[in-house]
Amino acid sequence: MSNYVETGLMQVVFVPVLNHGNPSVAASVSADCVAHQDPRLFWEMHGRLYEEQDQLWSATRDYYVNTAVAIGADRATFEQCYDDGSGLARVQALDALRRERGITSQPVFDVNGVITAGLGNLFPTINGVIDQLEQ
Amino acid sequence: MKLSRSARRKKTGFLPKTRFLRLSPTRLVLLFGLLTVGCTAQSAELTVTSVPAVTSVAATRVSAPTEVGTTPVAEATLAPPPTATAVAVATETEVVTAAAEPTATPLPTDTPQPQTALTYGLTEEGAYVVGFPDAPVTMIDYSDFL
Repeated sequence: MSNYVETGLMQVVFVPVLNHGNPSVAASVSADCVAHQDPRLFWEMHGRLYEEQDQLWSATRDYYVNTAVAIGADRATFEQCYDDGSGLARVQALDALRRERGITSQPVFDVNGVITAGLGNLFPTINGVIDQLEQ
Repeated sequence: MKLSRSARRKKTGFLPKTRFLRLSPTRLVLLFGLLTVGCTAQSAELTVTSVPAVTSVAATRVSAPTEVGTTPVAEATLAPPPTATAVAVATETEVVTAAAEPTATPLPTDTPQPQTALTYGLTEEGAYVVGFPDAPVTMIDYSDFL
């Protein structure tokens, strides 16, 4: 995927889905909080959380603070965002947005308006969109 | 007394009497044929060939200079559900230098190539976006971290 992005072919937008209760919320809030310090940190956090996905079901606040600091976020700023509810409000708003758009499962991808669910059809969908652009 | 070359030229005309003129008709035909073949081969080598590889375009893009602190307006289209339309614009952006060498599959040659730089930002709705704002493809990833 990074090949598509770094070569300018595609930009990626991530919208969090909160389908697994508090663990989903905590992970999404932590990613949102680092994003509001530096948008680049979101993608660092995004990668880290997916790499350690098996830990997220039981992850505590300290885990997210330590992970945020490890990728370069400011501790105090992160903790304030994580604790004061501002990050929570934002991710809940994004979650509501995806529901409004009829997205109920995950992952779901919208590639220039072409919707596909799951990773299995993602690259064929992307290639199909590219082929249409060429025509 | 031996005449100089210029003197010989004046005496005999432009073409000096050389061994070339003393060749038999058969040898003249053969020589003419060889000259003709040589010219034809050279013409084939001048045929227009290929369009520059797209990877060079990608490489140029990837090595674009860093502009820290600029906030270009980015067009990140949040593809709508079938009945609605929505356009999101990145509001907080930071331009960074992309990776030095692309290892990607070469881009299709006819795909429009963006002119801006790789940016990280947020859409109007607050979603997280990365990429060149004028990239021809926008992918929205609705995912849970779990």
